[in-house]
Amino acid sequence: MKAAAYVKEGRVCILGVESTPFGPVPFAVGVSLDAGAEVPADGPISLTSDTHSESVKLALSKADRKVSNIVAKQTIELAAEDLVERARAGDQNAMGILTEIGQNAARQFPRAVRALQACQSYIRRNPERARFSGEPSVASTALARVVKTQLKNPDEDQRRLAVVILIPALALENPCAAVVSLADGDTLLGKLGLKRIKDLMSEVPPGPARRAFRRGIENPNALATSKAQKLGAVVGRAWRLQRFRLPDSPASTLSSDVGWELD
Amino acid sequence: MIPLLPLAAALGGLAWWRARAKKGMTPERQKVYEAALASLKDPDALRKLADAFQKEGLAPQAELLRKRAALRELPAEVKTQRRDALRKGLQSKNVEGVEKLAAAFAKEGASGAAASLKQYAAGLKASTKKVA
Repeated sequence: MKAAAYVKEGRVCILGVESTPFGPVPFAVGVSLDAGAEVPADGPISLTSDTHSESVKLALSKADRKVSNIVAKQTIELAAEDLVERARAGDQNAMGILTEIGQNAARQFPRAVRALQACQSYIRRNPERARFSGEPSVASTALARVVKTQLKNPDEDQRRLAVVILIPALALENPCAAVVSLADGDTLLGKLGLKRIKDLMSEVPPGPARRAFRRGIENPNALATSKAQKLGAVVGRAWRLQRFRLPDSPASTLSSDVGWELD
Repeated sequence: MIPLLPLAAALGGLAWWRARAKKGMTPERQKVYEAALASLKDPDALRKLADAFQKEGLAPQAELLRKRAALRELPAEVKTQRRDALRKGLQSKNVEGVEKLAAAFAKEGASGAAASLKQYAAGLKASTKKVA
């Protein structure tokens, strides 16, 4: 799990993303501090520090429970999507598991009932049809929506956290959505933009991964072979998109191919 | 001993004749056509390829290759208009509009601009689509 906590106007908030076998589960929760409790200054706080006041510890623990509930619920939904789509594709194991879930749900086993409800709900909302390769999964769509909401947050610190924590996950799940979200967010141009790009780069371990990140930024249309390069390519494409949106920018800002066609 | 060289030459000739004898869009021609649209930047080569496609009865493909070859020779004001249209498209939040613009660029042989718009539309769609 990758998460960060912060205090904003008397609320303790946790923003992050949990990796599950079925895809990333993003979360953003907030818990108000008890009335009369000492309210710490707005800004990032540690998720685990012992130096927190009792009221902050209590709020963090409540927020943590909320996160666990969100992750558990979303994981079941993603697992249901995975199971249903595998069964539709003719996977005998998936069909067997679905049958077993149905039988156990009929015996009122609570977990099976929840799983069955999740599968039925997914089927209702996604009637059987040909699924195109490359079509975004439920996980990536949910993540893209959370990123979009978080990047519209009026507080700059929270937008920064969202970029650093959520964009790397979205870059792997749905690079196109990550590019658009990043390009539509705060500027990546100029000194301020460089600082934001460095923030993102600090999430990549130094050494070969960081060099791959830089390669991704410099040549975002090349085939990315590592996670770091994929993230770099997303940042590079978002940077080019913002740059091209400026009046009178040449089309070659986007890529040499587009430049050949339109410059 | 089997005369390998003449045999290979004969087989190669047969394959060439079969490939030539095929009319219409074969998988091989489709690959050549897509690669040319995606990356061929020499107008003369594009026109030669367009002539070859025309001879094989592939007139729509030939026309698009000729349009791509002509992109570099378009008047400056047309290029500026197209760049501005692309700029507007890449700022739009209207997925359908962006997809239509991508199709319009593709029709003019500007496959790079069309691809940029398609990727942008896909990104927009993901963050506006209802979670199932």
